[in-house]
Amino acid sequence: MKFLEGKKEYIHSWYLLIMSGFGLIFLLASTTLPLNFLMASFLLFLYKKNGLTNKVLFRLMAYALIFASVFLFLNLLYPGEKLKVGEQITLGQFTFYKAALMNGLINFARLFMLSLVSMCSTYAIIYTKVILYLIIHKGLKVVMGYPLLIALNSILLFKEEFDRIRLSAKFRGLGWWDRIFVLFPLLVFAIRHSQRGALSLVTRGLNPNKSFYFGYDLVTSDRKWLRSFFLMFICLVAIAIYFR
Amino acid sequence: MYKLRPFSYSFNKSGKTKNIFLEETLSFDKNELVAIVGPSGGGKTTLLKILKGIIPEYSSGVLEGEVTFHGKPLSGSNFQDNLKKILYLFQNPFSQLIYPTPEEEFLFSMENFNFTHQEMNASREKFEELFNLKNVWGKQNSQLSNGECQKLVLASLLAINPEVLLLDEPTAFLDPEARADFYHFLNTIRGNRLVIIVDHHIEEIKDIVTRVIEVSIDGKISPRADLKFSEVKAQESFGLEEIAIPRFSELQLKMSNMSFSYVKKTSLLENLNTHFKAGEIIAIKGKNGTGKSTLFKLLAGIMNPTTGNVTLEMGKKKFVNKKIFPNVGFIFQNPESHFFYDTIAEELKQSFKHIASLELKEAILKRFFHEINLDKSPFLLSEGEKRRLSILMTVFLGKSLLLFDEPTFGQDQRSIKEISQLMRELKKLGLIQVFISHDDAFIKETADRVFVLKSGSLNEIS
Repeated sequence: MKFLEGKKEYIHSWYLLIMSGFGLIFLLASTTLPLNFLMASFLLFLYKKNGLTNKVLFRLMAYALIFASVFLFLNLLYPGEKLKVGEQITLGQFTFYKAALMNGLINFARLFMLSLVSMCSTYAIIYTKVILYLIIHKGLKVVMGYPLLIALNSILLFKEEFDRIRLSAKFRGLGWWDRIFVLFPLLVFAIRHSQRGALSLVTRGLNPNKSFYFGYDLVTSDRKWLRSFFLMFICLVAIAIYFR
Repeated sequence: MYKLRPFSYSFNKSGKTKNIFLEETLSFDKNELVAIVGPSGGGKTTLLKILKGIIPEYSSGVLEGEVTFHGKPLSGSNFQDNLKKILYLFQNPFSQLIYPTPEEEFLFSMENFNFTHQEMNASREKFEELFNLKNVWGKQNSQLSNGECQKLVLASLLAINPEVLLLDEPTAFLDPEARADFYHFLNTIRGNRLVIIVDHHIEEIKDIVTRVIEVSIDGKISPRADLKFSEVKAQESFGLEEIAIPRFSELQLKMSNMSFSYVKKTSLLENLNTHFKAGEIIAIKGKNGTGKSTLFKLLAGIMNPTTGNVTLEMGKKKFVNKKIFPNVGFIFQNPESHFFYDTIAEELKQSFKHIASLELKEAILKRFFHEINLDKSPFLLSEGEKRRLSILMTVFLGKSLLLFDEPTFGQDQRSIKEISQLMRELKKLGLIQVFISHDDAFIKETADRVFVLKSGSLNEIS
């Protein structure tokens, strides 16, 4: 593969992070499901454009579905006092209040959209790019930004190390009690990784006057998308307040 | 350039005070290629850190004496001044990664020293060619093999064009071809700079090395006349006959039309057909990134092949693909992945329970470690010692198939002989042992059969 082939983003990660932040606040606050659906769809469209694959999207949908379903069951099993009134519905051996079911379904839908958008955002936003953009353009200090970068990038290494440690325990035939101590080598790995990472930054010459090969600049289309998003956001907030 | 007057550096290691000391004056100058040799755990890495100035700048130990670079001490404000002049490659290349992608990683060092775009592009072209980096562009750093990672970090550091290069086992994970290219490159660039290297491939570097410094096991730093070491004699038997682990006679590992791919339509391993028998020691060679570690994962039953099967036959019992897993002992590239407990004694307990004789346990430990305190944490051992501990923790577990991923990384000649001897004795118990290695001497001494993994095929060579 050629140097830096296929690394272009449809929309800059920094703006996508801002949009996701506002979008998540909206999804959290709004109880008007059609508006939530509109916001979630818009964000998912941007995530897809930024490289979120269908495979990942469906997998995350499954996770969000499980998470939201648990919440639905909790709503049905332990409804608030105000919901324990009116018509009751019987499903097999279980009997629910209709009001509790309706409330549970609304919460289920909201939670599904909220958790799906938040999980998808982690796949679509390149946090390295966000941090480097903030260092270059927004004055984030390199002594703050780079350790943050190491910490974020170590997540994948942690995952790999965790898998190796888990496998090692299985190869050795350690019992479940010993396997709990998987946290111990992982903790050691974390400490040593941070120590080595810090040393690496120092020995490789990190300094505040460093230059950057890439500008990580925003382009006109990024600004257009951000403006469009805020226009939509204001409209949705206004409608949501009107129908509250 | 460097002037080292008598000094001593003491620090706490495994609860004891370890000393690294020099009793005479040494100086290093440009156009030199200095090899630092000595047993693992002696203090070679510590000496490199002193030469970089990390010690005492970022260390809790005590350095007494004087080490100067261009007439100035290495610590304090001089440490910052020397950042571009002295570059240091860590033993574990993954420890030096900052970014998630190889491209940004490669540029990082040059960005720190304000190279222009043209200079960065020129360096990229140069090192792309030298280290075959085209294979790593587009990947994530977490997907790189150790060899690829080592090449990447090396290229990033060399692009700075420093006055001094401190290299801690820079070729440990490189295949022989890449190693030869690298040594040739070192020889050509040393003209106006100083290269100090810790490397166990003595035979391969002896022709380019201009001076040799030895760090003995007790920490004494002294110059040596040359890289000629008395041949490490074949080791005596460990006497493993009496250990209580199962013996295997009717054992076979078969690969039948086995293929594997991570990405659809792109096979990493293609149609592998071969079988290994009881008591065989198999070496797997191949260039970095050809899929050796993936092959190991398939043999261990960690992953299923995309097509075909891998089967472990133990008499009438057959274990196919992932069912093989319980019969496998796996020695990972990173030995720290093996450690779970607070002390070395606890780590060894499970493996050593099959050895009844206390004398035998002590004899094995004595041969594998110069000095070991069993009550200390395994994480406090040197890299070479950790590797040897991980081997001892695995080989006596009673598994019929042992897989060693780079067993000789970071090992001195004596330890390599001991590992080889141990493997040859395990062979008598009927175990199948497969190892990945780039160390031709070790392969020649240890393996019964040698396979090369190239372009997805596994071919036996004589």
